[in-house]
Amino acid sequence: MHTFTFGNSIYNLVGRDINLSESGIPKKFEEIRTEIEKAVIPHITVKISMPEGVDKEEFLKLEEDEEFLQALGDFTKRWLKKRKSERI
Amino acid sequence: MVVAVTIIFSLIFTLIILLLVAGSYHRSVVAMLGALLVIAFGGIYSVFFPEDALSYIVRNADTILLVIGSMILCEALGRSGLFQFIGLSMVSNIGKSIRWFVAVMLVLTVTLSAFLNNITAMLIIGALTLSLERKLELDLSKLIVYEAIFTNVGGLMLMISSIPNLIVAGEYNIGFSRFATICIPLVLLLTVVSLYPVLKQIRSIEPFKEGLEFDPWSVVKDKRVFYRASLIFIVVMILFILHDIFPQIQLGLIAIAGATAMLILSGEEPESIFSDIDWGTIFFLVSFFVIIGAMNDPRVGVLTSFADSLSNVFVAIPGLAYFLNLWVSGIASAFIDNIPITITLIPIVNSLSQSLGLNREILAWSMVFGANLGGNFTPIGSPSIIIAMGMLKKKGINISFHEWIKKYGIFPCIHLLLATLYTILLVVI
Repeated sequence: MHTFTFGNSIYNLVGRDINLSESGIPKKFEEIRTEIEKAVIPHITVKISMPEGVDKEEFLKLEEDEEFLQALGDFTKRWLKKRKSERI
Repeated sequence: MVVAVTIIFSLIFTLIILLLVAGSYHRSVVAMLGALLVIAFGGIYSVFFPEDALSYIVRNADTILLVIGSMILCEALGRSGLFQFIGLSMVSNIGKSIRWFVAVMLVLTVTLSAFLNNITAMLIIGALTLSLERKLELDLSKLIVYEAIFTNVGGLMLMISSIPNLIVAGEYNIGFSRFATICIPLVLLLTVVSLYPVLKQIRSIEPFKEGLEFDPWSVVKDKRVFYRASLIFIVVMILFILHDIFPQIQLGLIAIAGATAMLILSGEEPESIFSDIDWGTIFFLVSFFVIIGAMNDPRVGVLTSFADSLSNVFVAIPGLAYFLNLWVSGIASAFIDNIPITITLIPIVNSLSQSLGLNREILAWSMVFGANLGGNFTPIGSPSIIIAMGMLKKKGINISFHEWIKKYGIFPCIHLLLATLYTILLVVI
């Protein structure tokens, strides 16, 4: 029982240590991860301003909307194809 | 009077160690408090003065410069994308075998942690693993745990791989090549032995549906900076190797020269690089040198009397000291930072080697093996494991203290046993 308490109290430190390290480590990790992720899964981040006359909450939800993201992906494909044919 | 001083300083030392174990305050703050206490009480009892504290810092100046220089070098190299490039190059085009993929990732972990500090190595390898996890749509949580364990193995490889290595190399005047000659065979052995159970577990998993193909150059922002940084890094490594032939070129100076060249040529704002340096570790190191300097002072006599008592214990079988040193530093590293353990053990090792006629360098090796490998015993034993646990926590996976010891405790046990056999080999040779 004593060991259990000891173990748990030390384990709690793990969570605290991670919070303590928030000074730099998680930020650095996110930077490295973003860089590597761009190489592994190439992607772009675009900013879409909220069009007039739409519901703000509904608009903000689009960021996580799989169907919307799929439609954007399809649009991107069509856009690039069109660009290419225009150049030729 | 002498006994009173020894008792008071022993109490201060115990307080510092307890505070470090408890982790309630940042380790640098604890060490600074300890340094202030030894100077204050040293002054009261007229046994230790501020100029003595300064002389301990000056005596270890080469190690401190080496640590600062290496930190700047690694920070600038990390920003150039060199290590991310190496990582992506190694994983790219490896085919569809998961076993081969896991083996490459773990070998990459060992390689990265040999050249980088364990924190940066874990951040890069962890980021790569999580990105690949998304791409492959696989659960790579277990791999992250193994990577954390392997960073501590890689941290043993070179003199620059970890701070305890730098401290021991500085204290015992062990050159870069000598360090590599002794440690690389052990690291290779530990890597192969550890890979076996990991790869055995994934025998039944089906291969990837598609191969991994990506452009490693996409992590390099500026190719000119990348080439410059790589060149500086190679030159510094060559100079470290040459230090064995020309010992008058101090390692600390080489590291600082490399860091200066990197600051001039990396294209990064020096201020931005300085802001990402782990100053806490440097303050901790400097303060702990003062504490141990005081504890080892004959007028204070804490460590000297402890070492004398140990000598009496080992007098019948002196050779046992090699193995006890390895296991004590290993098990202590599971709970406390391995830097204070190394700094504390050095004067004890010196005293034991003198009184028992043991080989100082082999005692130093056993200390390095234990300090690096023991961190894998617990989920708080090393920063790379703490970071890995943080990554898993974000994914909703919690590994308890007991679960860690039950599932992964076998690795440090095997590592320390093999290191013990290797130490016997060093003694025999």
